[in-house]
Amino acid sequence: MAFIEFNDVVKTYKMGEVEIKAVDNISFPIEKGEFVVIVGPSGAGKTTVLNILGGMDTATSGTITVDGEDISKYNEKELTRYRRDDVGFVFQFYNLIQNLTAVENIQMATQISKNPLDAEQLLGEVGLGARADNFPSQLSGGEQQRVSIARALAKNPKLLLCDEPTGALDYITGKSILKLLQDTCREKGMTVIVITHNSALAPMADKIIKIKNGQVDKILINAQPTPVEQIEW
Amino acid sequence: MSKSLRKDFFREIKKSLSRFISIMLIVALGVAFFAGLRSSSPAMKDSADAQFDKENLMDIRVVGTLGLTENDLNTIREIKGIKKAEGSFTTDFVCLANSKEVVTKAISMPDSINDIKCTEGRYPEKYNECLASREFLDESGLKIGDYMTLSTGTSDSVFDTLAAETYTIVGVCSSAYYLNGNMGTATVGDGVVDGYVVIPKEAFATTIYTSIYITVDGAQELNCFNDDYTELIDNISKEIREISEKRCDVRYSEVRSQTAEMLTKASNEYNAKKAVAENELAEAYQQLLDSEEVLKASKELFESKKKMLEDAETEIPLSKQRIAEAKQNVEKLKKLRTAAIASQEKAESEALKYYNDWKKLAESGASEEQLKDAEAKYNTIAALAVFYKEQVADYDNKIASATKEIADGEKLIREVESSLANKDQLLSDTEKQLQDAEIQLQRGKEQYEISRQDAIAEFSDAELELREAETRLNNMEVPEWYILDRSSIESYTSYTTDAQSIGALGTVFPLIFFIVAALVCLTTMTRMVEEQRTQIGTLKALGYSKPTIISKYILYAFLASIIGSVIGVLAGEFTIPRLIVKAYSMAYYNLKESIVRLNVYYAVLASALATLCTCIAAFAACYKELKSAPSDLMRPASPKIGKRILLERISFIWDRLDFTQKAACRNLLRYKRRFFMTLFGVGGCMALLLVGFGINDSVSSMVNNQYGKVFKYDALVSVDSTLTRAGRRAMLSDVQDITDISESIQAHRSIIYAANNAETVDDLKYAYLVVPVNNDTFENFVSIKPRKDLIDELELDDEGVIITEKYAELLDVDVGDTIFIRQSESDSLYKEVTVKGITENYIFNYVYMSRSLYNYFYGGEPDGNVLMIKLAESADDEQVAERLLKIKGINSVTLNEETLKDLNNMIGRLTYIILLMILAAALLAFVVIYNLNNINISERRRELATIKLLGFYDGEVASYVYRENVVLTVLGTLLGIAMGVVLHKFVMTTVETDIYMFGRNLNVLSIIISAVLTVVFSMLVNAVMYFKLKKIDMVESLKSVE
Repeated sequence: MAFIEFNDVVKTYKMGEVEIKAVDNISFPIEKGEFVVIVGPSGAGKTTVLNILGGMDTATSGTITVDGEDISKYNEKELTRYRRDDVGFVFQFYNLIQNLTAVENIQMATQISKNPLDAEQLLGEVGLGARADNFPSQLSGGEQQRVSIARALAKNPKLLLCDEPTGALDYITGKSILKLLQDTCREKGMTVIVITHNSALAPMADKIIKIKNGQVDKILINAQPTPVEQIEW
Repeated sequence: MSKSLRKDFFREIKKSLSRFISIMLIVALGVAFFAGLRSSSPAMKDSADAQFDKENLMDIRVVGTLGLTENDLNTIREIKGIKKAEGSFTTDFVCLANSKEVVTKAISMPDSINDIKCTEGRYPEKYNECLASREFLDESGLKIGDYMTLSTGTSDSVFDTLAAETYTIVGVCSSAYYLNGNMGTATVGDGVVDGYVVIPKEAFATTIYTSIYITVDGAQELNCFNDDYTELIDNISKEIREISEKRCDVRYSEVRSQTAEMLTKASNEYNAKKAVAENELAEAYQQLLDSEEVLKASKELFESKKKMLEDAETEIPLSKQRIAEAKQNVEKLKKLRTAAIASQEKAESEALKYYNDWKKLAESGASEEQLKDAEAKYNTIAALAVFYKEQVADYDNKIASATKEIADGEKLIREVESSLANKDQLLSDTEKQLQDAEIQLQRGKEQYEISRQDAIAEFSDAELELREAETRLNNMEVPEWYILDRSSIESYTSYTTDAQSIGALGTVFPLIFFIVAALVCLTTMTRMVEEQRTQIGTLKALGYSKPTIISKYILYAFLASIIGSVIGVLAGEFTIPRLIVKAYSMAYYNLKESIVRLNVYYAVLASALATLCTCIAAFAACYKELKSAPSDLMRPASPKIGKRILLERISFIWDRLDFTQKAACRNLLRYKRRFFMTLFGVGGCMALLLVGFGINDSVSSMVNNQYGKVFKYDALVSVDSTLTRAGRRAMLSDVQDITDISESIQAHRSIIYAANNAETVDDLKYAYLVVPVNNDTFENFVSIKPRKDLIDELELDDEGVIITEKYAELLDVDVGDTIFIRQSESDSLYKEVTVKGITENYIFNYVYMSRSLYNYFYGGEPDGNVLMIKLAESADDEQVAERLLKIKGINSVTLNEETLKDLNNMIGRLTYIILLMILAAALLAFVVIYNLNNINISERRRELATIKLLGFYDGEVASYVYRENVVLTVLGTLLGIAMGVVLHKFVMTTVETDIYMFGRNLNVLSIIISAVLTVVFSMLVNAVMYFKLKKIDMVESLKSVE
């Protein structure tokens, strides 16, 4: 059994009397330590997959297992615990607390998790050791995203979930962030899932899951992932 | 405004209805409190005025020290501007009912002033029927149909003043003259009037009016609490004062001649009585003398009788001997008689023989000689027989008389013997009788002596009384008229004070609401403008002018506040005054009218102020944004920059804080507007509560300090100042005889007027001048020491006077300054006195002066017209008061216990105000904290969604937000304490009148209770917010910044 498994996951939203299937019978496996890119156009159902996988929403039917646990059966409190301990989030707009310095933003995560990593050390690892006491507003977008990644990693999660991590960044900075993510995956054996509409990022992944109209269009296994440096968009 | 903008405007309202409503509500709240509280005082005054007009309450009351006559009344009626004038009789009585002594006023039934309303039963129709007030019935336990008997409580007869003593209660009455149960003091019973009865005028046996009630033309049309009314009344009062002097002179000479006449009559009566009594005494004396004479005669009789008996005793043997002799004599006589009888019989038989011989001779024809011889012989013998016969008869007589003599003698002896046998008994009886008679005589003498002494004493008393009356007549002062207005009515004055207090509250509190409303509006509008940044930029880019764009927001605020104002005015002006009038009519239970009108002035003022506040707030919110270039506006606003705070430099504290604490600390200072608004809102809530409880503290500490700390005496006795020296001595010894009185002191007390310079004559402040007759023990009765210093007591000496704190404040003087004292407002002379000290005091103003200083200034000893009395712990105050009032020369007794009771009732009434405060504070807290939390949450929605997404439990998210609230609540509460203390002081000094000084301190307990309530209110709002927090969707964190 794979590390993460989506089995026949369906999510329907009720809009008045009309039922809309945002996710229509999606199944895919993700192995531990894989770098996965979930790609698809707007409205394809990526975000719903992210929400369900991130423990922010529940599936209407189907099962989702993460490290042997069936999270589709979780109640709200268990889901919170799951988000708290097992998932590291990286947001498109970084979502740092403006009123906390870089290191404090990371501490925010370490303070609530069971098995945290050292905040200062992580900040050094993402290349911001010198900016530890800076507020988010004093950092560039790329730097903020690095802090965000460090914050996600600090919890020592089972998987790293990144929602359009380069969406708000310029080309070069975006690349450096992707590099950081790829390096994290390779060096720490972290399972990284990147959700993006930019299919240009696909070649750098071990596995590419293409979603279209709420269904899995294609699952591609990339034996030879392209290093980030060579990707252009 | 273009059509599309108009559409946008209405859609905006529809979309952000909760925001629109929140502005509307805070405005409504502010306006409601402002307009409501402000119009409460007018409503109270309107209601009372309507009641007064309806019941024709007097405008002026004239009282004369020697009463008022029909002529006085007619003269007053002639004054122009007087509508009606009516004489009235009032006397204080005691009514004994159900073994309770009820002090009652008997009032004559009015014609057309001070209407008496019959609420149950009917009006009296006969002179011995009456109406009784509810208070009287409650106190006495009597009911309609019962009989009620009045007594004067002294030796005076009820019939001196009334035609009947017993009245049938035919109805229950009420009057606007007595809005509540406070009817002042009386000179009988325990000195406190418990109720009143109304009896027909004809039941009064006097023609001298107690008072004349007057209504003034045009006064009913005015509100009696307004200045124009006071002015009108003052003018008429002045005119009455002008005629008063002349009327008083007339009355003086009238009463003087009457009194003099009465005195002569009394003196004549006295002399007549004295003569009669002396006569009676003389007669009694004569009677005594006569009795003495009789006794003497009886004694002599007794002596002679005794002698006789003794004589008889000695004669008995002699008599016995005489009887024995007589008996022998009888025997002898009997023998002689027997011999005589024998001689008679012999002679008779011889005579017969001789006769026969003679006959025979005759027959035989014997010689003549022989015959003659025979005849001679016979005759001789026959004569002898007759002689013997006579002798026998003589003996018979002698024997009979001797026998009788013996029998008599024996009888006599028997009698004497038997009487001698009872002799001792008889003698002792008679002697006893004599002794009794003597004792009786002695008693009679004693009785006579006693009567004589009594008569002497009585006459000397009567003479003294006569002489006193004479002195009084000589000392009689020219009467004076007191021209009083409605403020002489106890319940009227306390009602006025209450209405003023409410007015003062209305001045201060709405301010807090207005400031908060403005702040809430500013924050809300700012938030709205921030949210619509992009739209503003777009409109600007499209070429809309600034005023067009800004008008949307101002109109939004304007519309919300206008609707809010209307709601507020309607809710506030109709509920709050009604509630307050209702609350006060519970205390002033005879106030039945409730006039609550829409007060247009306050409605418009409140609405205008509120609308202006919100519109300015809206403008201020837009102003900054409109200055920016459209391109800037269309980009998302750069988030507020995180800032370091001072606390971070103290690393050993900072390092120990977790991130939520750190974030909270920084957040507090980051959102300054919110910070101040919360601080002000929570502080306002705290301040309101504190003022509410503080009013209670101040008033109760005023009362408790005055009667617990400052006044140590229990009763103040007012003494008749016309009392003679002897009368005063008697009065004092009578007072001393009451064992429940532990200590008493005589003092002089009178009203004086003073200012801090010699020129002031119009604005003199009055106070009681108190001069103790004995300086040393005075401190046992009144504490004389400064409020703030804990150091030693001040001492009364010749250096100067000691005045009370409020008086010093009124006169604007300090220790060492000089005050100028006058004896009346029109007194042209003044005394210059140094203020030696300022003493703690709360109720009324006093000037304490030493006896010698008084002597120096006024040339004489203080007259001691009051007596301060301390009672034993166990004493029953009312009983003592009753006993005191029975003492001759004591006019009235004021029990501090009673005053305390009245004042405590007043404090009870404050509960309504405190409840109103708590309600206001709670509303304020809810509105402010709810609004703030709302804004806080919506502004930080993204941040909260993020931490939720990062796996924070609901409780952790809540505590992240609440931490700031907690800190702000604590800070706000602290600020509130400061605000409350200042506000409290302001309110108390505003409400204070010239004769009251409220306690200036707040109890720690009040601060604690207020703080706890504030925290509880804040916690309640936070509890509500918890559900709002739970609803935040964490997916929002994934969305882009607006």
